[in-house]
Amino acid sequence: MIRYLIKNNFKIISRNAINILVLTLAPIIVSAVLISAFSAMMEKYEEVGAFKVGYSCNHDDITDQYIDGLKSVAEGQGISFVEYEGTNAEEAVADYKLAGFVEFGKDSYTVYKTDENTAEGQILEYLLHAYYENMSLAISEQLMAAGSENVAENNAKDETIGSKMKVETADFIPAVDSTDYYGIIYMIYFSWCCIVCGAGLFTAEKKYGIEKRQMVSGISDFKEYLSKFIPMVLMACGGLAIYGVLSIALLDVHWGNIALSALLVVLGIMAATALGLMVYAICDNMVVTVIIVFMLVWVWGFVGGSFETYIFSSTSETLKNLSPIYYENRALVELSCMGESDYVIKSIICSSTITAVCSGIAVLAGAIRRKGGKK
Amino acid sequence: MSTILRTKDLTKKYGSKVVVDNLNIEIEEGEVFGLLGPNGAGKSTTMNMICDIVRPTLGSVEFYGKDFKKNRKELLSKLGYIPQDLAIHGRLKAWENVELFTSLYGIKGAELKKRIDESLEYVGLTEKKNDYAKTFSGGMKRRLNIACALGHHPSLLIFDEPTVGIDAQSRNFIMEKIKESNRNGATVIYTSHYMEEVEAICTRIAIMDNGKIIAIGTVEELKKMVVEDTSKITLEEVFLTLTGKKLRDY
Ligand SMILES: Nc1ncnc2c1ncn2[C@@H]1O[C@H](COP(=O)(O)OP(=O)(O)OP(=O)(O)O)[C@@H](O)[C@H]1O
Ligand SMILES: [Mg+2]
Repeated sequence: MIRYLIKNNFKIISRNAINILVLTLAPIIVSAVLISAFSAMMEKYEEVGAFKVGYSCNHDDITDQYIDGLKSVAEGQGISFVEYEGTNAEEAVADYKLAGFVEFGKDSYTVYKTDENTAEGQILEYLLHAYYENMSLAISEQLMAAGSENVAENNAKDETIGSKMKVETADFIPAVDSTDYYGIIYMIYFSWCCIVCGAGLFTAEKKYGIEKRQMVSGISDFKEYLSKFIPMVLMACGGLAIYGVLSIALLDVHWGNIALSALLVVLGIMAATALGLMVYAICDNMVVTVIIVFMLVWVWGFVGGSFETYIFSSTSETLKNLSPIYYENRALVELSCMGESDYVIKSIICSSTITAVCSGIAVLAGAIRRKGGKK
Repeated sequence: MSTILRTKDLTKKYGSKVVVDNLNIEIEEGEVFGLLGPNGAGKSTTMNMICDIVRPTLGSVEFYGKDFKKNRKELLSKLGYIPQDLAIHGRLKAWENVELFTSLYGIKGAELKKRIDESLEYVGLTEKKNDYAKTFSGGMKRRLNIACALGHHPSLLIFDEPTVGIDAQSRNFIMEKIKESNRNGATVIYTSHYMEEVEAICTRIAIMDNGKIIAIGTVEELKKMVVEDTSKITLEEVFLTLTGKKLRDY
């Protein structure tokens, strides 16, 4: 009966104080520190009102069209673009009291920011970045779709790009403060590190030959996998649930849709556990597993907004999309500040896929190691 | 008596090193079979191959006349393996340890509870059933290690050095229990470095060195291989004569 094995493995895991520390106290401390460190900065973003930006460009059909689109998008964000021809960027900023300046080149642009208006500068940079990223995406989509269609139709479609951008980018800068952002983001980050929960159990099993003893009972590889997977997921869910309550009570984090957020976090935990178990099944060494998983999670966190907010990061959208943490971060942050998010579905699909694929590989690798190698 | 376990040309190599070399032994139902040998002789490896947790390089094991490949689950349930290492969880209480390993054989509910109590009683740990295994002394851990292999009522018990590092009382207790299990019908394979233990409980003994069986028989028969007058020699002297006095550093 696998339920007794699951129950006892859960006891082993939960009787390890380190697990509670990693899952509850560590995220509380880290997010508390980051919230206070970044609160000043993020407040600045909220306080930013309308501002004026200068630009210069070489006029041609394409550039003009882009800039018109950009201008209308920027307008929606309270940013007005004013053209200053023939002036030097630095002089223009000083002379006309601009928050920043953009020089549009043939296929690049240069942003000038000032020391006084750092928040405005960041927003400007982000806006341009997001605009170009989405623009090129939209265009490539169109080119694919267009195929043999004629040029006139293509031109007509450019209009839709402009209006599509408006909606997209307006959503890009949600009003999230650092408390909500880091309070949410660190639950997710630590949930992806939950393989450490199993470290004590795996080490003991190996050190004392318990693995062998379980094998003598003829337990199937799938049950063996579940007997680790389920207790680890339960432990991580339990620990992070405590964190969730503390985050509301101590840090005053707003979670938006709690049920949906919880579902996403649980799915993330399942994916993280499956990933960890897969790496462990392959390399058969807990230290190496923790190093590999932590490195991966760090990279995913880095591009997905766990350190620098994804909202203002200059990481390309393509890179962000490679990070399961990004989908989860974005879904939860948007749930918190907007009450809904397109990323909920993306995150569910991403986590479920990782869980299924990694579990499959883990069971297979475990079977091969036990049957083939049989040390 | 019938043969319940037979190894056929059982061989294990690690790289080029032959650890178990063409082993052919037969274990009869109801006997206590002793396996002696210096460190590194290949005793544990042999036991592990018998329990199907180490794959033989060559050869096979037949248990109740059947092959492990086809009847794995059924055969394994008849086997009780007490490993040389203390394979118990320190973070679990004594009864939880027994529960974990006994439940692996599909035993559940009230029956499981009964078996847990029975196993703990058997090794004299009833009083300590609610204590964490990590708080146990060496001897208690050894006893718990045994209890974890008994709950599913195996008919073949494999003891790999169950008395390492424990006091005379605990050893005596374990010896008595092995004899009791045997009287109750279990067949036993037993390895140890304590000659007097082996002499006291084993009906037949094999001496293994460098992966090979170099002598096999009853204590009397083994002594006869070395001297005529068997009252003048101990099993230990027989062992040293047959395996030599050179230290084994592999
Ligand atoms: N996984 C392994 N890889 C390589 N060599 C191994 C492995 N397991 C065992 N050996 C080697 O096989 C030999 C036999 O080991 P084994 O544990 O069977 O000896 P033993 O007779 O039980 O010794 P002891 O009395 O010390 O328990 C030893 O030389 C050991 O180093
Ligand atoms: Mg050994």
